[in-house]
Amino acid sequence: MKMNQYVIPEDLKTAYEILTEHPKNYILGGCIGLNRSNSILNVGIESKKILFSGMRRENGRIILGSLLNFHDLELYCHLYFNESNASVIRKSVSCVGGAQLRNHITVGGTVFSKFGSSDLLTLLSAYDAELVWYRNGRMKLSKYLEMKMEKDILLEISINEENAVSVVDHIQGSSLDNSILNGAAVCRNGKYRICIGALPGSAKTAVQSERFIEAAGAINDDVLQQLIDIKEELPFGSNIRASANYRKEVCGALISRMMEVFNEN
Amino acid sequence: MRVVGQKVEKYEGKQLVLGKPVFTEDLCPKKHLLVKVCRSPHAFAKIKSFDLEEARKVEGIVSIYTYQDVPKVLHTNAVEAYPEGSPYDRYMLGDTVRYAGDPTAIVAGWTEEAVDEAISKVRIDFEVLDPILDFTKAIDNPVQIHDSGAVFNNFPVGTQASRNIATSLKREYGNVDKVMAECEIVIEDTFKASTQPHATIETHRCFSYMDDHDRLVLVGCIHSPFHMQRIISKVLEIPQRRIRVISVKSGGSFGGKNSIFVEHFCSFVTLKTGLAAMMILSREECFEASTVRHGMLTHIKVGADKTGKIKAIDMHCVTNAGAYAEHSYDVLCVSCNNTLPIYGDLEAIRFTGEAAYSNTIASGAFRGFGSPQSTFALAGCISQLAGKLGKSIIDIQLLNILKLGDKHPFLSGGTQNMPASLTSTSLKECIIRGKEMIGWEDKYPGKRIGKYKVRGVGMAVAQHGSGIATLDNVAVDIRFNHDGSYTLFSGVADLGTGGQTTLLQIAAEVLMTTLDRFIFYGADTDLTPYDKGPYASSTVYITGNAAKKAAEKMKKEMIAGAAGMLKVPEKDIDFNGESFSTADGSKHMTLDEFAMKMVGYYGCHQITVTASNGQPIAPPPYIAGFAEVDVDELTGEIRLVNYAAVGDCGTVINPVFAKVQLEGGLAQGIGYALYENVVYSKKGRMLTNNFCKYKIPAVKDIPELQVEFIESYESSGPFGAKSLGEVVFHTPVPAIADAVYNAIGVRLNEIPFTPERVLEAIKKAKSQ
Repeated sequence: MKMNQYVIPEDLKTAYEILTEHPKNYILGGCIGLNRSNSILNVGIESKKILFSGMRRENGRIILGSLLNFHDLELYCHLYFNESNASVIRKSVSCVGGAQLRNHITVGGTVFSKFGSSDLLTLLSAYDAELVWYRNGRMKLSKYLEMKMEKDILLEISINEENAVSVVDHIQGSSLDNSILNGAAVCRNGKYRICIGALPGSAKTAVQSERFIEAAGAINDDVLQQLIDIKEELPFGSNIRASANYRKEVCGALISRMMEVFNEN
Repeated sequence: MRVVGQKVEKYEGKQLVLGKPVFTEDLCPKKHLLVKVCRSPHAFAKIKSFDLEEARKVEGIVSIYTYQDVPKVLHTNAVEAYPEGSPYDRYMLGDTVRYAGDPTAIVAGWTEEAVDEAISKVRIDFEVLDPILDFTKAIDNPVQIHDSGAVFNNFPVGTQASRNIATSLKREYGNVDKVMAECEIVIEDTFKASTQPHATIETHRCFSYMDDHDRLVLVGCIHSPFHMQRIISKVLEIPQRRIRVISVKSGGSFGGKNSIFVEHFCSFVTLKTGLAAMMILSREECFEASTVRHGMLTHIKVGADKTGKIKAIDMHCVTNAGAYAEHSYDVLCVSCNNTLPIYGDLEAIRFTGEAAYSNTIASGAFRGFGSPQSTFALAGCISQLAGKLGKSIIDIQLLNILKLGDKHPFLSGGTQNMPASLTSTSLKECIIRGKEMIGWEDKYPGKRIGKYKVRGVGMAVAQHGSGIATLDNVAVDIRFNHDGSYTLFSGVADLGTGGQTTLLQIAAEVLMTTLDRFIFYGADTDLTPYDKGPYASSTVYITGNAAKKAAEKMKKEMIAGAAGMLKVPEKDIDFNGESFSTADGSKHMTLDEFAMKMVGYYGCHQITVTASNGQPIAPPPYIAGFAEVDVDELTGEIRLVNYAAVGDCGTVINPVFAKVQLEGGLAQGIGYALYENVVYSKKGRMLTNNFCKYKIPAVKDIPELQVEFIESYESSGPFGAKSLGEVVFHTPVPAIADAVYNAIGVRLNEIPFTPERVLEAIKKAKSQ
């Protein structure tokens, strides 16, 4: 990565103006993805003075600053989430590199770049998280993942944890490798929202499995067995880690494995 | 013994952990040119023309060279003993590129920015040709990668460029077809082993400058400085005596730095410009354009009787040489000679192998050198034989392994008619101990630990060699200094294994002293004696023997010197490492006193000794490896939960180095078995070109390894020692495959065992 100019704006308005001046002007997050690319930026816009890097509770929701790094999320999520959900959040980021790398990777960077193999992004999708943008205001994460958006600055990610129990899991090679396929499920008032990511594209809801569980009424051994055989119609693709076929083949097993955790609890 | 067998600290260890500037880049003269090369984006193409005008205009660019500017000398980039078996099939730069990453032009400039910009402005007009990317389809393919007649051999190694055969090998003993036909059980199968990059933390790098005598000095993490000197001399057409090669501390080699990647380009720039120059490969270049382990397709037949006694083995390998042959001939030799003699008392045995040219990265030297791939196939058959007979694999191993004194036609040091016999082994004891360590009795074959999860145990045995019999030659000098210290000079580079420290331990043992009396000077062609280099598992066995001989000579000369000074016969001198005295105690002289007198006015004699060594045999070290794995039947995921290994390296010279050598080799083998997967694009670009995409195992992936040694005594080795560096790599792949079979009854025949491959194998097994 190279950048022709590096600026540190004091406020969002200035940052947004610079951002929209040129197609190759970008807001900088942790720069982990950018650093590995051959991109040449016109202006790199430092975000440390304009973006929130912590967590807070607000109107019953939990807000993650877009500049919150993975390691801080891992260390402090239990102060905001209940212990069960906090452990799931920790699990979703703990497989990303070492602590040194997690000190740099930001939640906002991951969400903004729709980083497909991120277990956290899939978990946020399962939470049906909302994004807060400088220009576009509030928007569902699921909507953002489906659309192409004009330039904007992602400020915060807002999560409703109320009555939610979550699970995250993945199929993986080496323990520090990106997931071959990841999944997250959130149960709220007996209703499940199941998302599958690393398709290798970003997370989508596993509609057929959700419907099947709803129709079954409850999770039991039979349901778990049948979930394995559901071939979700998701846009599975191939990458260096696995083929589309493999992903399609094991998606049901991953979902069943996650549902088993709810069953055990 | 007082030093050998003790946990002596690594000679340079403290400086390394303190981060002292000891590596190549730390030592480069401040003012130097930066050298990089342009690389081919195509897997196979002819260069029609260059347009360098824009590139040359970039500020800070000093020179750009293409194949039209450099000496045109056919050579091999493989660094090994002369005359090499490696075919000479490449030029420093040529008019044809044979893999994506092949160098096309050298660019030298004052800053990295300038060099990068110039590289982006070099325009090359290519005539793109159809490549061969699948090596299994290369032999007799209508596409021919090297022109017939454009490949030179020092001696016949079976090269047939017209058929894309880089080199081939055939060894046969007895009538294999006849014996096989008479066998009651014949196991026949095909195994595919993948390529593997070395993934060293330090990428390839070097710097060069002209010294005050106008000689070229080349410095880097250079595996074998004397061979490097010879090849640079040949490629750049200057006499060897005008080149000095210095090898400095290494950030990892594993055989990967036993080839030339940067040294000739950098030296050429220095010779042309007279300026110091440095070249450093980027991580991507290191992956895409250095060398890798040979991919190998092995077809194997093992014939046995009903008791499981092996009667015949017939192995045929096709290896992927890649674009250039490099070490392919020797890799075939090792695939045969360092693998097959593990089982004795055979009636017939045959090995045939071809290394096929393809338009992928050249394969080269890598820890194991072909043996891990053929061990995978052989061990796979033994596992199947046990399965077919309903016997434990351990019983099959104990029945068949070569015992002390047994002869084998492929054992080093023998001939077809006069097979050599095994001079040391504790493999049987290693197997029995490993079985206890893993808890085989309780765990074999496996048990269900979840609805879809099964845990199983498996094992494999392996051997390697110790150096190269009758070919390796090294020398060690020891100088006794005026202050009572010794300086040991050895041309062996230390690749991080502690090899240099073990040489000091051996010399110190003979001289009855401790390491603090020693200064080590290593791997500098101007100052150290000839050493062929620390490859082929040879430092302790080959150079260690030279160190022992040199120390013995030194001791003899010192006693003679002391006897002269004390005016008593040599036989009356008692030397204890610190002083000389007569048996009756009437005369006594400390070592320090002796040193000053000997070098100074009284003796006028600085004792310096040299000892050379080569060995007629390469005695095999052994290892028994035991794996315990969890297999997910629905997803094909494998988790290694336990690994036990017991090694036989003869006498353990340094228990700490031996332990970490074994652990490191296992970890690397585990990576090869489970995770390390090289993926190419359809056009032949390597996609897995960084550590995010190419995964070596993380600490989390490696369970706590249980490692032990059971010493045998190899009488030809220094204090009974054999090698260790490579054999440690061999067992994880076959042991994990055996464990998966014992867990879920599924055979894995292709490395790496990725979840997708395992699931495919499960589905295939179900459908049969």
